[in-house]
Amino acid sequence: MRRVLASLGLIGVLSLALAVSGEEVMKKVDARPNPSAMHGVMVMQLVNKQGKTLTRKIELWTKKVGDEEKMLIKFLAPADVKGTAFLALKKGGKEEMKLYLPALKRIRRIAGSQKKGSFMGSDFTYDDISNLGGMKIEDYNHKLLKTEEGPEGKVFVVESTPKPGVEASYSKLIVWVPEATYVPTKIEFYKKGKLYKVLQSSKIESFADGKYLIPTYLVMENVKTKHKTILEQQDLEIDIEIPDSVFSERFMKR
Amino acid sequence: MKKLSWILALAGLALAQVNLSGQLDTNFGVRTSDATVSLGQTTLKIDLGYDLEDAALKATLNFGYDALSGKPSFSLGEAYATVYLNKMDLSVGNQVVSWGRVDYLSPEDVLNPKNLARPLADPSAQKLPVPMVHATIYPDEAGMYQLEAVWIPKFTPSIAPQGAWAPPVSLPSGVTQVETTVPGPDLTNGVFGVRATASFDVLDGLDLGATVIRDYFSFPSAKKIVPVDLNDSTGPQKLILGHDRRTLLGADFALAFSIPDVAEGLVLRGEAAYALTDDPQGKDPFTQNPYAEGVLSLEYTWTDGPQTIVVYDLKWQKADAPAADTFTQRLGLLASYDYNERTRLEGAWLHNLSDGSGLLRPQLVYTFADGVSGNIGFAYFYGPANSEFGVYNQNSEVQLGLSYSF
Repeated sequence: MRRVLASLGLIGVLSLALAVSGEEVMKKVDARPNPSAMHGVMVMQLVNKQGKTLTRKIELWTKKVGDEEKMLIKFLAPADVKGTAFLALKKGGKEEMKLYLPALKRIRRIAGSQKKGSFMGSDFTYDDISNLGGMKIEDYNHKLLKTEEGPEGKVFVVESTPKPGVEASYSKLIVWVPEATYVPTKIEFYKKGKLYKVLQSSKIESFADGKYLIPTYLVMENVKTKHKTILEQQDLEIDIEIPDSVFSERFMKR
Repeated sequence: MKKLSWILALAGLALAQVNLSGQLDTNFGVRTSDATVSLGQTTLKIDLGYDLEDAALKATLNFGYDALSGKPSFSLGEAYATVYLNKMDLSVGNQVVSWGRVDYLSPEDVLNPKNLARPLADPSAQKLPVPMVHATIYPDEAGMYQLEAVWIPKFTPSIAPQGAWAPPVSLPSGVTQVETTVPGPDLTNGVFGVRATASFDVLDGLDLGATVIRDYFSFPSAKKIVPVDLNDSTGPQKLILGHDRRTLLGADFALAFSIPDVAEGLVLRGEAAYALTDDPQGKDPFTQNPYAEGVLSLEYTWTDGPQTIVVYDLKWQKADAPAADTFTQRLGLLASYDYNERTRLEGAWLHNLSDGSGLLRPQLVYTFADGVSGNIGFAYFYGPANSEFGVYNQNSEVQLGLSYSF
């Protein structure tokens, strides 16, 4: 009996392998067109275990040209952080980050170690926010764990682990990818092998006549603390012309 | 009537575009040495902003009430206009300009006078805005290089610690009066500064800066002693205090880097300044002597832990001949940790290695709701009575505050 079960299991694994691999699924995720530039407002609600809520509001500009990625965030609310600006510039595997603090009237180069820290007290890290556009799939090994049937049809469940030598915030990710859209709807983040956070994305909206499918409602929950962050994207403008001068110290101060 | 309607309509339209924000703060302090209330202040800061396409106006109004003295106060904070030209931002008005890289102990950050009436107040709030012209030139679009220039037509001195914070004063023998003179509003008495900065793609990013400032010492020093009655040279004497000119030469850097397999994402900041005076040899006891100060700080954020900054400060002061020059070393540690989105723990420790005195300031900040936060903290001074921080031994206090931002 055990041999039969083992054989069935093997057949199952083989059939999955024959159908599609984790690598192929993630390549299709990566192949989905990503906007070259984006501007919008994000409203973040931080909900604690008791259901009490704090609200943050930010304005975001992103631009991608080749291997160069630029992101500027301006904090709009609450009032005590209004005017604070965060600039992240990525190029050729290097990333520099700067923060403008209006109270100090000074732009500070900030430590890369802050990337792993909480973004405005939320369950997202600075790294999570800058990777919202998608992770670098070539930095990970991908394994198809299973397929599921969901409301959106067939869903691939892929385990992604960072390749040796890659600096990653998480030890493992498990990603749910519907075959119909190849837009991940759920990601489990693991640290030291233990489930740490779960990200669910919904309200997938179509932009540029269906060229882009972008989830505009994200919920990240910390499994241990039961704290969650709801991130809603509003007034999104896609593929607009954003001059390079936006991603500068001068614009941070304006 | 029709004209008035138009004016009201235009005024309404203008007001509708004004950005209004502000902050209401109430702070209490209790001195631990004698359990007396050492602080009871309520302040309301109103910020008004008006943005045009290529210009912006900003004004801050400060209202205050001091429960200990029973006095209300009002002051104009920053109030200036900025025009955004092609490659230059030009700001004119009452403003604060921060130069340098290091927080709080920055030797280059001297353009604005400070209100040190209460040395424990928030350092960013201690800077007093002064009327100035400030130009920032951006030669390249990415802003890798910047050139700044500041002209402050009239020098404003800093405000020395007051009341229980005023340091003990010992007047020379025979002196019964003190008079302080301030440079007048003469064009030649202005303060000037230029600063150049550049960013480079070295390691994880390198910023360099150089500063030259021609200003005055912010606190006065002895200039001469004269008879109170000029016809009676043997009678009571008067000490005249004044502000000496200085030329400050500064340089600074910030370098982001990682140590593979040890620590990822560190920032090293450094800043040094040398003050030239009219008495480089220390021969004239009535003229300020040169000094130099250098600060190094290292910042690191621990995974799921606090953000920490370690600071080392070394200051050299030329002494009046024949006394030996003095060297002062200070060590600082700043840490902040977000326990959760509502609770933040902060700590600052500053220790003078040369005289053994120091200040320890732990604080807990709790956010009750959006824009509403409270804090409880403790400021503890230690060291010999005649030392930098020990002089405030009797001023250690527990502080409580509530803040509402809108």
